[in-house]
This record gives sequence, structure tokens and C-alpha cells, in this order.
Amino acid sequence: MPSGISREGAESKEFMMRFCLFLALLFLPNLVWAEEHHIIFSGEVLRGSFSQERRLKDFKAPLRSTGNFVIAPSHGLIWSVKTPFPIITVITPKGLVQEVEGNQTMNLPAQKIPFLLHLYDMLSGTLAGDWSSLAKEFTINKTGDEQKWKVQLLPLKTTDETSMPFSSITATGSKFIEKIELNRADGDSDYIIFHNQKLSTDPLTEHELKMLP
Amino acid sequence: MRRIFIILWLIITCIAGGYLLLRIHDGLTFSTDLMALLPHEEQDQVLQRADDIVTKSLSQRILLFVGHKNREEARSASMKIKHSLANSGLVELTADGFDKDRLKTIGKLYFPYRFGLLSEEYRYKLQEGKGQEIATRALSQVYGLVGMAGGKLLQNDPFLLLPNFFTSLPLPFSRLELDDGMLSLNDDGKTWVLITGQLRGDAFALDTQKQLEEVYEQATKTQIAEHSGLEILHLGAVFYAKDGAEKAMQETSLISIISTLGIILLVLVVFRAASPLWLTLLVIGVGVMVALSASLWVFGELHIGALLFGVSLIGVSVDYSLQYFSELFSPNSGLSYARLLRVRSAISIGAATTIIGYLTLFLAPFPGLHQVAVFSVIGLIAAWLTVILWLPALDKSTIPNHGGRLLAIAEKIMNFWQNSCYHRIRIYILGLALLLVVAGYLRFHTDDDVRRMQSLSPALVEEQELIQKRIGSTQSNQFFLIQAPTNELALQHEEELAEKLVLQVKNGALSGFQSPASYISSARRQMENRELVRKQLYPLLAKQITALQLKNAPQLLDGNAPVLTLSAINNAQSPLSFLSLMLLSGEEKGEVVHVVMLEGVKDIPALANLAKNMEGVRFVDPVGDFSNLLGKYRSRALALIVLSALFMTPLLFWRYGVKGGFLVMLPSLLAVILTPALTALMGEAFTFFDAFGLVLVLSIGVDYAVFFAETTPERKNVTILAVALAAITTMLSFGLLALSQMLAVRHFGLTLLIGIALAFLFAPIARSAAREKQ
Repeated sequence: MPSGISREGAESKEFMMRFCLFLALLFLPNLVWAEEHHIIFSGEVLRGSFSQERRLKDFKAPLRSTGNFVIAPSHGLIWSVKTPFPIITVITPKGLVQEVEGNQTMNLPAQKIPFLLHLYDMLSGTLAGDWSSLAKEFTINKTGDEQKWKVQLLPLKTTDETSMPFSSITATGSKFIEKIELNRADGDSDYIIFHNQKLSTDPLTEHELKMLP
Repeated sequence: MRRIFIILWLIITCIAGGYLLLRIHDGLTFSTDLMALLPHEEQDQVLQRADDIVTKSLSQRILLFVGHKNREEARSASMKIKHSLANSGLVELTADGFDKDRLKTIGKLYFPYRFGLLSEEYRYKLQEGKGQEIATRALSQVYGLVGMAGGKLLQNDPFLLLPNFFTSLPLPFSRLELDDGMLSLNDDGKTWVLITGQLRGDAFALDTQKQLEEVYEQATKTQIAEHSGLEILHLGAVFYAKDGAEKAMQETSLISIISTLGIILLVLVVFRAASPLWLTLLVIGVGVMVALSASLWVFGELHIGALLFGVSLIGVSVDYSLQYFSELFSPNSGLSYARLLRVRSAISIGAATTIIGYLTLFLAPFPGLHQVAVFSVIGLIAAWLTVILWLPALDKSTIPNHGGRLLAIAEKIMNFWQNSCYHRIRIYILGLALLLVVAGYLRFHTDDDVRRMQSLSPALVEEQELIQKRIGSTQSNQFFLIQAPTNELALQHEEELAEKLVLQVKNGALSGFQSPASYISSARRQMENRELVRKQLYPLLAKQITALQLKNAPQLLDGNAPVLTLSAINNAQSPLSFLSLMLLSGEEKGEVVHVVMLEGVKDIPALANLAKNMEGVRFVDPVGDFSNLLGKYRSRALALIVLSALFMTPLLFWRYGVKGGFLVMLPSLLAVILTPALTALMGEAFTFFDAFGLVLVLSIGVDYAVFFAETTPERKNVTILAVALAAITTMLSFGLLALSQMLAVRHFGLTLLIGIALAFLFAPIARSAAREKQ
């Protein structure tokens, strides 16, 4: 019996991984340099904009997108691409939903992804200043100081099935994270640059609350 | 003269014994296949083969679910259990999760044909002219946060049709995800890891069950000890079968010990001597031995069920032996030969009617019942000969002097039926019986559902529910059978069926299905799909290429390019080799037979309805068919009772005249009519096994009546004693089965318990027939 072609398995793992690391990296500033205090407090909301560049091998030009994001601890993340066309991705503890022009293009409940739990474990450990679980998966290189820092993560396992879909992840920043670079084994790479990041205690707007229940 | 017969019978039994020893020496085995007990129903070999293959593959599946709060502990425990199972050689672990490599191979296989392979969803979208939605969705996967598509794939499949087709492939374990090579899911704060395997041996073979149990116990106990809080759920026909076999074994041994002890005690208490006991055992022993030997000679091989049933039927011969020994209590008992002479006609007529009753079994179209009929008739004749020829010669009993008290009790029972002062009470009792019949038949209902016939372990059922709650439904034992001259036509039938099944999934009639066509579209469908892609998506291609900044236009598929065929993927190297389970017969055999597997079936009639009016498509429900069959044979068994009764009457009319013959039939007919009414009043449904029990009630009941009809006024109390002994032993050996947990056995036992009691109660009515005797 076939019993479970994990169709989304390979891909979903990849982007969940990507997303979680990404979240971790957003928090990196206080992890790396300010372990003694949190930068985002519960009840606070971090807003900002981003521009992303995907450099795919043998493509004429990089694929660029821009937009903004909202992170509210204990609620989740809204990632809104504005250009080239609107795409809204919402990630909550329940899972991930992607929408284009009001049509759902992806829906993945979190319970389907055991890996997510593993990553949450890893993350919460990291947030509490425990680097050991992250260190199990990556070699971590930290350079710079609190004003200008750089963290590089290199997956430990590279060849076997459990390997990370990335060959390296590099993040730089100061108070907030400013740039993430993801390199994939097949030669593709992604760059994300963050701007205008602001912490506020303003509550989520009605529209945002609708997406982040 | 008598001596010659005794010696002749000795020679025959010796020959039978010799043949049996020879067969035992050659290694005597009994057939255990349940199906062999069933009629060769309509002889549809295709159906039978499909049924066998699907049922066998289902029965050999095992499924373990290992849960722990900690993901790593759940995984390491699963790994160890997997190793133990694999190392035992009993189980072949199945790779249910598709790892990266396997997915890659499947991707490679499908890749050249991608424009002809569309998911249902995309096919409908294109048919509705919504090609732009597909193009946008592909772009959103590149530009959105979830940028999962790699550059290479986009170059060749800019609309990401292949990933969408992949996503649409049916998944039995769709709630699970492959997590680092293990199918897992999170529930109740635990990580659950799934282990599946296929049993190498027969799930119903006792030694396979025992070996697997040892390996399973050992492996799981070690892991539970190592990881506290580890939870393991298991599911599989083999576990149910093992539990059932164990229960049956315990039950059978307990019931048989109680009944054997009871009978021995009874005989010893009544006769206060050992020889009636061992001579009675000799009678049954000779009967069974000769029956076994003769049946093996006739049939070559005997079914275990026929053996067990046959032995029970031969057990009736205890009655004849008891008739003979009870003559010891006769007022002027005399020598052994004189005693035999007094009961010989009763025993012979009783045996003759019983033989007629058993022979009727031969008319039922069950092959197993033919064996039972031959076995029991030969055994009964042998037992009868042993009583007639050997017992008087071997019996050295002395006349007991405690008979008076026993006979006094017996007289009271007889008086009740004979004395006119009890006339009114007798009328009341008959009136009450009539009332019970009416009340009982108002509550009468039948049940043939074979699923309720076996008692499933509640603990295992609970585990099954827990597993199903988590992983969704598992494969049902119903399926569709597709027959067509070619694979292409079979695939087309499946596609037509799939359209209907999708609607039924929405209606909740089932939760999912798998067919070869879900993995490979028919050539016709592939060509249609290409045409859709050409018409609806190619006009959008230039825009998509710009939006994606592709360097080269993707290679377009020309209309004449080959399509993916079933033969290309149906080989051992294929990553889709599991499909072979659904491909029962190929084109080389002239007829193609495919199976469509179903999951979580809830509404059987709705699915059965689908197949109607569909060419080459049949709905198969093995359990339902089996239940229907039991229903058919329940009514046949009732017909057998009427037939046996009819066949017995000429003999009884000849012996007792018409009125006397009816009087001899009356007690057992009353018992046969009253018993189902009483069980119905108890709330029990009437099953095939009750009907079968009634066949026995009739035969035995006529025996009792004959004993009364044949006795003399001086000996009537002795007869009542002998019949009482016979009834008690029968109730001890069959009636105790009413305590069984197995519904089938319990029904058989209950019917016999009540039926024999009633037959005994009414038997003295036949006493009046003695006057009619010519």
C-alpha cells in the first residue's frame, strides 16, 4: 500500500523550517546580545516592511517582492506581499494560510507537521537563552557587537535525509535584524532586507485581528 | 451367529483403526480454511480471487502507533520496535512514508508526462476557463513567504502543474506527515509515530500468532520500561484473531472440563459403578474412530469444523448406551443379553430416525455439512453397532440395589403426564406454551451479521478507535472490482467511478479511495488534459515567462508525444510498485482486473448502488456477502428441519400407525416451535446457529419420544430415568455452550439447552403411541 506519500512533506518541512528560523532570526538581537531583557514584550507588536530577492539559478533576473509584516507574540505573523501582486500569508499556532485575491492558495494545519513541534521546542529553548538545541542542528558563528552583529548558521547534517534544505543562513542587524541571506544547496538563494521596524503597544487593528485570532 | 457378528464388527473396527493409524503416521492435518465450509457460491472465480487477495492483504496488515510527550523518545522507541519486528522475520515493515528519494523517483517518472497529468481540481478549473487562477497560484508560490518552488522546476513547469498533481494523490494516512523518515503526528501533546507492516505468515495460524505475540510483547515491554510514559497502540487482524483463538481455547477447555466432569459424576452417582462409564466412552470412541477413518477415506481431507461438529453429533450415542445400562434398574433386569433385547428396538428406531435427521444435512449445499453428514452418520451407525453387539458381551455389571429411589423420582415425572388428576395443569401448561409461542414470535427477529457473530476484544476495539481517531480511517474490507478487456478501458471505468465516488466522499458515505487511475490517468484522459493545457494555459505562457524572468521558454509537449502507460510503472523497480496490489490480472491474461480500495466506508448501500448500471464495475462486500449467505442458509436450515421431520414420518407411521407416528413427532415438534419463541422472549435474535441447533433438537427429541413409545408399562420408569440421564448429559455437553462469549456458539448452545429440556419434558406424551403400535 502506498499509505502516505508525504506530498507536502518535503516542501512543507522546508518552508516551516525556513519560517521558524526566520522567526528565530527576528528575535536574534535579544537572543545574541541582550539575553537579559526582551525586545518584544507580550502585548507589543512589531511592524515593518521588507524587500525580498530570490535569485534562482539560470533565471534572467532576480524575482523581487516587497511588502510589510506584523508580528504579535502569542498571535502570530502576517506577511503581506504588496508587489508584484498582493499575497497574504498568515501563520498562527494553528498553521499556515496563504491567500491571493481572496482565494486560498495554501492551507496547512500545524497538527499535520510534527516537525513544527520540534522546532517550537527548539525555539522556546533558544528564547530562554538555551542554545544547546539549536546547536544540535547548526554550527553557530557569532561576530560583531550589539551595535552591529552577524550570526551565521551552518547545518551540521548535510547529506542524509534529515539534512536542512539550506547550506547556510546568515543574518545581520543591530537593534533589530536587518538582513537575512539563505543559500540553498542547489545554488538558489534568497535575500530579505527589513526596514522601518517599529515596536508599538498599539493593539492590533480590527483587520489584523481578523487574520490573527 | 451373534459371535460371528461380534467378531466381524471387531475386524471392521480394526481395519478402520489401522487405516487411521496409517494416516496419522503420514501426518494427519485438518483443513482450517473457513471458506471451505461455505458453498461454492456461484463459482465466480474472478470475484473469489479478488476477494482472497484483498482479504488476505488486509488480514496481514499490522499497525502500531507509538506515542510519547518527547518527540525524540517516541522516535527512538519506534526505531527499536521496528528493528525487533524486522529482525524476527515475521513482519515485513512497509515504507508508508515516502522519503525524499522515493518522491524524487516518482517525480522523475511523472515529469515527462506532466502536461497530461492534472489533479481533479486543476482539470475542473481549466474546463471552467480559470487558467489565470492556476498561473497566479504558481506565482504566489514564488513571491510569497512560502517560496517552495525551486528554479529548476519552474523552468520546466512554470504553472507548477506537477506539484499540484502530486498533492492530489490519494493518501490513506493523510493526517500524518513524514517527519525525518517517520510518519508522525501530534495529538494530546504527544508525538505519535506510525509503524506499519505486513505479516509474512497467515494471520489465523496459531503459531504465527504466538510468535508475533512474543516478539511484540518483548519489544514493547522493553521500550515501555526504557521510556516512561510511552504509549503503544496496536491494530491488525492477527491481534484480533489471536485474542479470539485464546478466548475460544480457554472457554472450550473450561466448558469441556465442566461438562466432562459433570457427565462422569452423573454416571457414577446414578450407577455407582465404573463399567457404564468406560463402556459408554468405548461406544463414543469407536464411533468417532470409525467415522474419522471412513471420512478421511471418502474425502481425503477433513475440515476441522466438520470434525468438531461431527464428534458432537456422535455424542448422541451416549443416549443409546444409557438406555441399555438403565435397564439394570428394571424390576427383573436379567442377563445382559436379555436387557439388550428389551431396549434393542427402541435404540434401533431412535438411531434410525437420528440417522435420517443427520442425512438431511447432506442436502444443504455446504461442502462442510456434507462432511458432517457423512462423519456423523457413519459414527452413529458404528456407535449403534457397538452398543448392540459389544456392550452385552463386555458388560459384567451386577444388579444395583439402589434403583428404587431413582425410579420413584422418575415415576413422579411420568405420573404428571399420565395421571388424570394433573389433566387440568397439563392443559394450563399447554396454554402457557401457546401463549409463550405467540408472545415469543411477536418479538422474533433474525440476525445474520457475521460481524456480530464473533466477539471482538473490547480493549482492542478501543485501541482501534483511538488509532482511527488519530490517523483517520483505515482501509475498509469493501472494494470495487473493475473488469475490462484492456488496461486503458479499466482506467477509463475507474475515472468514471472516481467522479461518482468524489461525490460520495462529500456526502460522507466513505472517507477516501484509491484506484490505479488515481496514480495514472487513462490515455484518453491524458490526451484530454493536454488539450486543456494547450487551450487554456499556453495563451498565458508568455506572460508567465516574463513574470518569472525565465531565460528559456519551457519545452512544449507536442500532441503526439507518448502518454504514461500502466505497464511503464507496474514493475518491481517502480516507485509505484505498490500499485500491483490493485492490479490483479493484466492484459496478457485476456481480461484486466483492477481493484479500487475504499477507506472509512459508512454507507454500504449507497456505494453498492454506484456500481449498478456501470459497465465493468462491481461492488464487493465480503463480510456483507458472508452475512447474506448465513441468512440464506438460516432459512435453508429451517427447511432442513421440515424435511428431516418429513423423512422420519414413514418409519414412524410404519411402526406406530398414523396417529401414533404423530404422537411420537409431537414432543420434538413442540420443542422445535417453542425454543425460538423462548429465545426471542429473552431478547436474542434468531441466527443460522439457532436453526442448526434445532436440527439436533428435532433428531434427539424424536429419539426420546421413540424410547417412550417403545417401552413397556413395567419399564416406563426405567425409560424416564434413562431419558433424563440422556437429556442431562446432552445439556451438559451442548447446553453449556450457552455460556460461551462467541455469539455463534452461544446461540447454538442456548437453543440446545432449551430445546433438549423441552423435548425431555414433552417426551412422555409419546407414551400414548405405544398403544397404537402394531
